[in-house]
Amino acid sequence: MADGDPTALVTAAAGGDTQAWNALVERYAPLVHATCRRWRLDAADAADVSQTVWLRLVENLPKLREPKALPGWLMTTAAHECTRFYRSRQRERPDDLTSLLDRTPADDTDPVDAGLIRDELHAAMRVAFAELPERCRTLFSLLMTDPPAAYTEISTRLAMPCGAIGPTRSRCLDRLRRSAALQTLIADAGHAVRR
Amino acid sequence: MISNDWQESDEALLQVLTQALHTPDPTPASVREAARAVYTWRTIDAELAELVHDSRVDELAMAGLRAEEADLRTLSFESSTLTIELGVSTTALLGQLVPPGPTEVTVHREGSAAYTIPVDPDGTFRIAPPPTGLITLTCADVVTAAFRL
Repeated sequence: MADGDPTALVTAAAGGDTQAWNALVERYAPLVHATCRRWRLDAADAADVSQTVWLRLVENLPKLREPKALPGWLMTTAAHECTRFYRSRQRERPDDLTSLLDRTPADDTDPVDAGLIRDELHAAMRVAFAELPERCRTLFSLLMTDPPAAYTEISTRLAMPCGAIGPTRSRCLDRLRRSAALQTLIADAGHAVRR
Repeated sequence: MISNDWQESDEALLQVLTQALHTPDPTPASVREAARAVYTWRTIDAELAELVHDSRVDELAMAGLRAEEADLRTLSFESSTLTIELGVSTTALLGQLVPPGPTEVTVHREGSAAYTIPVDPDGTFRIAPPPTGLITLTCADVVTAAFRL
């Protein structure tokens, strides 16, 4: 279960495996929470809406069509539940202008918002990293030490010729970039620009 | 501005990844606990009735709405076999099953024991005072999506 793809965890959780569920929570809860925060929910509201997102996942586990795309599903569901939250608050307090103003996700030209956006990016990166094959994770861990491990050491640790390290590094980075979590962020940013 | 260079450049991507893995996770422990806890809401033998309408979300607040109308919240849940309509006021929850048939509804509430209430032959039921908190209703082999009252 240490490896990558969430499909096995989703299948096991749908079948009643509590440990698999807890493993999904461990890996993805920070991303759901960071997305709610990026929608400018305060700490208490972000906690409530996060919990609702996980409820939606429990309800939909058996029919989740693409378990591999789970991070994207979670982020989209979080955005949907945040929108619902704002609409219900607007109805309860129609005169509360802030509830209208707050309806847009954070904007990165504002310094406070920039922190929320960075937190979400970091959460998405950690998810994308966790989903990588073990070989890529080991390689990145070696490259991220300070100072970075020498190619000869990496070559020994990964049983890989020195000449293969560069191409493997770029394949692994490409995989990271194509992860569902980061692709969902990129798609969202595209919407933001068009808005 | 947050640089989006990582979308194109390998060096920038590796740099953001390094920062991400070296930054402490700010998620409160209670958020993870709440997410772990909702697993007990998993139902295996029941079909999900999705929330298709919630007046509090789907109807925009209107100026001039009478107070008693504004106080009544309506919710609709649909499965392939059953529709469950709810009207919730401060004093009671009224429910209607379409089509009628099931003779009882089970109310599950976060943090307390489930209980069962009778449904009359017309498919209506009443809970007074209305339950509060996170709730699901189960009737026959259909369970509603969880909702908050």
